[in-house]
Amino acid sequence: MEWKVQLRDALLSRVSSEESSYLQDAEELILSDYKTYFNKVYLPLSRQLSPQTKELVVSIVTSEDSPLIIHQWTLLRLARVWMLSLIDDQKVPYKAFIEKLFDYADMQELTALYSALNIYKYSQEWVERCQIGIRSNIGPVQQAIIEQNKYPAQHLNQDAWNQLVLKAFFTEKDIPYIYGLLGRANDQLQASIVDYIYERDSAQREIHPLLWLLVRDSLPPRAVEILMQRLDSPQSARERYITEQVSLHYASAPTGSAQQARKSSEALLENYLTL
Amino acid sequence: MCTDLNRDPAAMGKPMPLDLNIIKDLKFVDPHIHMVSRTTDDYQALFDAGVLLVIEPAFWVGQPRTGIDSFKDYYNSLIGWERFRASQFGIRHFCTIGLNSREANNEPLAEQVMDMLPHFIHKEGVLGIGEIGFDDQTAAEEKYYRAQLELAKQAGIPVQVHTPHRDKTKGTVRSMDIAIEHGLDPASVIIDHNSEETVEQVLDRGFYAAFTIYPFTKMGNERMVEIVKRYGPERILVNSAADWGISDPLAVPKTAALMLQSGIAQADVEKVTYHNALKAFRLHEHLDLSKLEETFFADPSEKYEGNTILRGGQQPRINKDSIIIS
Repeated sequence: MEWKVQLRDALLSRVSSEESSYLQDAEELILSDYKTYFNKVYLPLSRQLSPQTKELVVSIVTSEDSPLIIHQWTLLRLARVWMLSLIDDQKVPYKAFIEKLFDYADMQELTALYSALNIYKYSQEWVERCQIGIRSNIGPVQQAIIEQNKYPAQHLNQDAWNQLVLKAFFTEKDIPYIYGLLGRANDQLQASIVDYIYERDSAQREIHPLLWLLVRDSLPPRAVEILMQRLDSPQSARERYITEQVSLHYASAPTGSAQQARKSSEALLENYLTL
Repeated sequence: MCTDLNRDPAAMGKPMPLDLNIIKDLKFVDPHIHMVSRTTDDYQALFDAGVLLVIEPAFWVGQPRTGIDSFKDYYNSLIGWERFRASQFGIRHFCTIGLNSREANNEPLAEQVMDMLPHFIHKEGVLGIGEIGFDDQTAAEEKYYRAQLELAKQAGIPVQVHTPHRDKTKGTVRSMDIAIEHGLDPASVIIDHNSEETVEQVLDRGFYAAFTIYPFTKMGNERMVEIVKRYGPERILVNSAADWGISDPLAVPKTAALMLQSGIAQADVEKVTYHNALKAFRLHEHLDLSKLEETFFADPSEKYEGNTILRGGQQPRINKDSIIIS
C-alpha cells in the first residue's frame, strides 16, 4: 500500500504543525473505532484547516499501480480522501457507512467522495453510486468522476461507460483526462458519436476534434463527407491535426507508405495535447 | 416572505432612473436572498451590479413540505446545486440552514427536521442557522426557535432571525428576549426584516439589525436612507430577501446608489452593504477575505488551468436585444 504512505506524507508535509497534529490524532481515532470517531473528525475538517491551507492546490506524481490520480486537488480534498482510506470494515456496514456520507455531503465533500471511488473496499459495490454521480449536474462533482479517475474505466459496464463519455462531451469536460478513454472504445459508443457528429453538423456547431479520433475507423460516408468539409474550413491547430490524421484513412487511394505511416490513436492524442 | 400586496403602487413616488455608474467601483454582499427561486438573468444582473457574495437562508418554499426527504433535498441543494449554479456566474454562495417558522407548526415533521439539522450545520458553505423565528407566534414556533438557538449555541455559529409581518414589534422583542435567555451573544444574532419601529431596540441591545428592501410589503429604500442617516452604519445590514414573490434582487446595489445620491458617506454605505454582513456572518472563518475581490471560479483548481473561463462568470451571455436564439 505504497500509495497510502505517499498520500499521508503529501498531506502532512503541507499543513501547519497544529493541523498536522489534528490529522494525526484523527488518524488514530479512525483506526481505533471509525464508527464512533470518523464523523467527529471528518465533518469539521473544513474548519480545522485554515482557509489558506485548505485551498492549496496539490498534484502528486503517482505510480501506474496507484488507484488514484491526484491532479490539482485542493488540500482539503486530499485530506478527506486520506481519511476515507483509513476506514475498514465488513461489506455491509462499510457500504452503509460510506453511502451515508454521500447522502449528507456538501459539494466539496461530494467531490472528495467521488474522487475516492477507486480506493473504497468491495470495488464492485460502487458502480451504482458512480452512475448517480455521472448524472449530477454539478460541474466539479462530474469532473471528479469523469476526469483523472481510474474507477469508471475499470468497473463500469459498457452502457454506463458510454454514458460517461457522451456526457463528458456534452458538458465540455477535459476529454484527454478521461482515464482509459481509448482502451474502452466500442461499437455502440462509436454509433452514438457518429450520431452526435451529425447533430452538431446540422446545427452548424463545432465538432470536438477528439470525437473524430474515437470513431476514426468507422465513419459512414455521410460522416466522411462532413470530415472533408471541415478540413476545408478554418480550424484550430488541434482540430486540423486530428481531422487531417483521421482523413488519411479515407483518402481515395491510400498508398502503402501512407498505411505504414498511420499513427496509433494513443500517439495522436499525445501529439494533440502538445499543440 | 411576501404573500400579499398591501401598498398602492400610485403611492410609490416618482420613478428615479437607475444610475449604476455611481456604484461601479463598489462591491456588495446580499446577506438574505433566496436564489433557488431566481433565474440566471438575476445572477448575471447581480454580478454586473457588483454583488460578489450572497447568503441564502433556508426558508419556506411557497407551499408546505410534506416529508423529511423534501427538507433533506432542499438543504442539499443549498450546499450543492445552488452553490455551484452561483459559482458559474462568478458569485460566491453561502447559506444558513434551519427550520423556518411556518413549518415549525407541523410538529411531527419538525421533530424529524431537528434530528437532521446537525448533519448540515457544519457543511462547507453553511454560515449559521436561519432563517428561524416567529411567524404566527405559536407555541410550536417558540419550541423550535428555542431548540435551534441551542443548536447554534453549541455549534458556536451565528443565527439569522426572521421577524413576523403581523405583530412585528412584539415578535421582534420576544425573539431577542428568548435569544438572551438562551445565553446567545447578541453579536452573533442577526435580527432580520426590521422597520423604523424595531431598529432602535435591536441596536441598543447589541444585535445586528438587518433590513429587507422589498417592494410593497417590507422596507422601501428611501426609508432605508433615512434610517442610516439617523442611526449611522454600525451593525446595520441591507438585504433583498428576493424570492418567489415580486421582489428585487438588485435591492442592495440600488439602495447603495440611493444612499450615495442622498449624501451618505461612501465608507458608511460600504459598511451597511458589504462589511457588516461579512462580519456578522463571520465570513473570515470560511474564506480568505483578501481573495474575495479576485474573480471567482467554480473550482479552485481552475485558477491554474487558466484561460478557458471568462471574467464575469462562466456562463455565456445571450443577446437580449435579438429575437434570434442560437
